[in-house]
Parts: sequence; C-alpha cells; structure tokens
Amino acid sequence: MLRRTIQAILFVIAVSAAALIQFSFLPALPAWPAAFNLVLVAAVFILFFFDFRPALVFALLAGVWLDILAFNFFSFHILTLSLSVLVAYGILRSWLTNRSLYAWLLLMAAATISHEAVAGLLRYLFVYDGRSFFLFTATFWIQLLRQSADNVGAALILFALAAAATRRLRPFFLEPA
Amino acid sequence: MKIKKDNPLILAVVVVGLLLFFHGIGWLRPLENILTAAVKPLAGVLYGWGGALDRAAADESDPAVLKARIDDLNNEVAALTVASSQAAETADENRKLRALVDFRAEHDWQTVAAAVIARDEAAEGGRGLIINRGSRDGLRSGLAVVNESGLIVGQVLETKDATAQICLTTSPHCQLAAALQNQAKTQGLTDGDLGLTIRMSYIPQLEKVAVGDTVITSGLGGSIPRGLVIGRVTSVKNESNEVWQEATIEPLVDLNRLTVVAVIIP
Repeated sequence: MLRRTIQAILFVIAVSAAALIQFSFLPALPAWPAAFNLVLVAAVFILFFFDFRPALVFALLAGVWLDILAFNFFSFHILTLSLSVLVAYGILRSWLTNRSLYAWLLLMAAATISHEAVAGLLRYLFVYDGRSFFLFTATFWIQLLRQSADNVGAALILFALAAAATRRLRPFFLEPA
Repeated sequence: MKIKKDNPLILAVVVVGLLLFFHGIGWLRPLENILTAAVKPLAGVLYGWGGALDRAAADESDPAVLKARIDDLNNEVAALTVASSQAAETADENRKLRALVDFRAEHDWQTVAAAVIARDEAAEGGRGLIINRGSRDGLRSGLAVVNESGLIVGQVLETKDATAQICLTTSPHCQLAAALQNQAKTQGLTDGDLGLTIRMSYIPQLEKVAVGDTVITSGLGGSIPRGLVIGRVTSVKNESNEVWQEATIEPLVDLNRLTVVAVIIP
C-alpha cells in the first residue's frame, strides 16, 4: 500500500514537472527545439513500454496542468493529449505486432501527427475565427515538421537508453540446434 | 456488447466531463489559482533558462564582442529614441498647456511590473507571452505593456486571476492606434506583420511619411496612453490607386528577449 502511494506521488510529481517544462522552458528555446512535445513523448513512452492506463492518466493529468496554466480554452490540452494517446493505442493494438525500434518510431510519428491534427482542428473550430482551414496554412506544416523531427529524434534516444537498461528490447536470433 | 465498469476510456470520459463541468461553474477556480500561484516562480525560472539557451544559441553565429557592442548600441539607440520622442511630446504638450489657464497632469499612470513566465503557444505563430500578473493586480484586456525602457511591446489580451496573456506588437491582429512624430502628427493603425515587423495602415494618401519617422501610440481608444514609442518607419508603400498608404515599422527592441515588462494602468 505504502509503495503504491509513493509510486502515485512520484508519478504526479513527474507529470507536473513535465507539464511545467512544456509550458515554460521549451517554448523559450529557439524554433526547432521549441517544437519538442515532451509531454506527448512521455505519454507515448509509457504506452509503448508499460501500459495504456498509466499513459492515459499521464496525458489527462498533464493536460489538466497545461489547461490551467495556458490561455487556450479549458480542455484543449486534455483533448489533444488524450486523443493522441488513444490513436497511438489503437495503432499499437491493431497494427504493430512487436516492440521494435521501427514500431516505436512509427508510433511516435503517428502520435505527433494526430496531436498536431487535433490541435489544428480545435484551434480552427474554436480559437481562430475566419481563418483558412488549418491544413491549408504553412504554419501548421512547419510546426508539424519541426515537432515530428524533435519527437522522433527524442524517441530514438529514448529507445537507445531503454535498450541499454533492459534486455527485453535487444534483438534475438533463433539458431539451429 | 458488454462494457466493463473499470474501462479506462469510460473513466477518462467521466473525469474529463466532470472537470469541464466543475470548471464551467467555477468550482475549480480556487484550486486553479492555488496551483498557478505555486508554480509561477518556477515557471519564471524555467523561462529564464530557456531564454538564456536561446540567446546562447543565437550568439554562436556572431563574434561575442561585436554582438555585445551591437546590443549596447541598440539599447542606446532605443533609449535615445524614447528620450527624444518623450522630449518632443513634452515640448508639444507644454506648449499646449501654457495656452491653457488650468494645468492638468496628463500622465497620471500607474504601472504594474511583471515577469514573463512563458511564451504563449496559443497565440498565432507563438507571438505572445504570458506574464505573472493578472486581474487580481488590476490588469484587464486592452492595457499597454512596455519594456524597461518604456517602449510599448504589446497589449494585454486576456487575464486570469494570477496571470495574463499579452500579444506582441509584431503579432497579427495586435492592433494599436498610432501616430507619426512628424509635422502633421499623421494617424493610423498598427498591427503585426508575420510576427517580424509592424505594419501601419490607414494613413491618408496626402500625408507625408518618411523613412526614419518615429511611431508612437496616439492615445485614441482609451486604455493606452499617448506617446509610447512603437518603433521606427523603415519603408513606405504608397500606391497611387490606393486610398491609404502603408508603412513598415521596425520595433526598437528584440521582442523575443523580454523577461520583465510593465503594464500601464491609466
């Protein structure tokens, strides 16, 4: 019981730290690193290496934090993050059969695209009145390109670290007896 | 189809629904204020670290000494421009006041100093900032935001209890009533152009606008006092078949490097 409580507290602290870094630190960096979505990468990491439930909880809690701090309408980040995790979960369950590097990178790219698509759609519908549809704006594609490069790059590094930490991710070969 | 009671999706939908409901009726507000107040100082520190890295990355391309020299000169030019425009405004004002029998102080402003805690990703092109003062400190939508030299850098867009969102003068749709410091005191409207420069429009064709003219706030519109320097004219677009002419204005400071600002409450 005590162990679970400590785990829960550490989890909440980790989510809060990630959300705060996402809110204040990352946007202050130069354009390319500023596009990195730490919260999304962390949520997809939890989904891929652990389970759907903690990934969804991470996305929801981080979304609440960001919605409290930022000036988008309340639920913007909750929706973008949780829907991205849902899409990633659907892809992971339906199409990806193993935990390979390629599956991990593909999942990260898919989550990033769905995150930006949902964010663009929500902004188009509820924030920017009378602007072009988000798919027809250069800003959307530039941001998507930057965030995909950042997130997939970070995913590559994370996979290397995870592979170094555990034997589960190493390749194995069936040899004839 | 059987639905499991502990399905995480259903739980998530219920939690989000409850959060939206409680936020809508305002029950979450005290909790939101406590959490915002708790993390504001840390957010300011993190923003400062990010900004320092940004500056370090930018400085790599130029020799450090030259860069520092250019920065110093830019600051000096900005300060002198402010001083000069304020002097011109003061002289003009003084002349008018002498003509009046009863003198009345016009610049009866109050300022609220604020630290930038984040760049606003909700703003178009990220051309906005979030500061650590809000409606509790007397801030409201439409107020002018200036830097430490007194140059106007933006406008308050929206406030929460403890924070406020500001748009920078280079943001599209960040509109200010402006005037040129020329003989005719030409008036117009400024808004941001691609997040890089400022565009002054609605300048009548017959008005003479010169490159180098200083642009200040005109004071029309209520919440923003007259005489705050917006920038300097770098080019003028004057088509004979147009009703209005347009000027491109360059801000006198780098708006990406703001860490401390002040909000003017008239």
